[in-house]
Amino acid sequence: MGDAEWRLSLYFDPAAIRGFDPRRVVSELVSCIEGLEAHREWLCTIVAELFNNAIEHGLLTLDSSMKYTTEGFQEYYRRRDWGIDALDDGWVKMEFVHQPTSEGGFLQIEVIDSGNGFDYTAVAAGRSLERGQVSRGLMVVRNLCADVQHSPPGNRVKAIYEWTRNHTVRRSGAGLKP
Amino acid sequence: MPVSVEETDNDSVVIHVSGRFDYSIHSQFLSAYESFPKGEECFIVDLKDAEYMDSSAMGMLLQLREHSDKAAGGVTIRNSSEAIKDVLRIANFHRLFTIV
Repeated sequence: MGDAEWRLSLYFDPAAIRGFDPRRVVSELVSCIEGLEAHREWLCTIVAELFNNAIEHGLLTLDSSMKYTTEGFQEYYRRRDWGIDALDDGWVKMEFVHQPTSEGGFLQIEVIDSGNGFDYTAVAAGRSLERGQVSRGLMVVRNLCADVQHSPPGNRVKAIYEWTRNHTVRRSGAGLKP
Repeated sequence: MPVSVEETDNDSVVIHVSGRFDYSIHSQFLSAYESFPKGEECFIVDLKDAEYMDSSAMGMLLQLREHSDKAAGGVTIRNSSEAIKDVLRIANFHRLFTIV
């Protein structure tokens, strides 16, 4: 499958959302694809962060600015736990589209949720290191991906990950954007 | 226990995290340090047994830093896997933490 064009769509209703471990699914997926296994950690991180954003901001409309204080931080994650337990409608769709290249491929990961969207321009702008609780996950995703695009009204994000065979080392700073 | 605490002789408190370092352990992580008076301790977070960390774990580390004695060294993160080190580097955490 590493040198093929393919598409995989996943749909999560509330029960599926409660039971979904993004890292486990991505691990299964990459183990089926020759050459992609070496990129497992990065893909797990990308998918987990995008899925969490869809749940926390899309479905549960949690406000990340709560996380600036210790009390707010704890409250944010308490509300996340309660919110997921109480979720009775809403969905998340995730689609993987793979386009092979001579050296590897482009893996597009699109995540859409049934929420009303959130202000992704503010998220994209919030870059402060200490106060930037809002953007840290997206900052990591942007750094790992060739491209990340949000679409209005903010309930849809498309990330493109470029991978190459024999490229096990995106580490030691090599290949990382500043 | 995914989070455990040990006090060492040299005035540092060591917090061990094992397994998933993400939102699922947020309250246990807070319990590990909140009983120490704010601003008076240095902490070492040992990630030898952590499988991965996500952005909520980064938030927890920043909360711990706010609780630490920043002037005396604040928080040291040690024994991270290469993948975790990369995430810390992308987030520019080497500016706020000692990473060994």
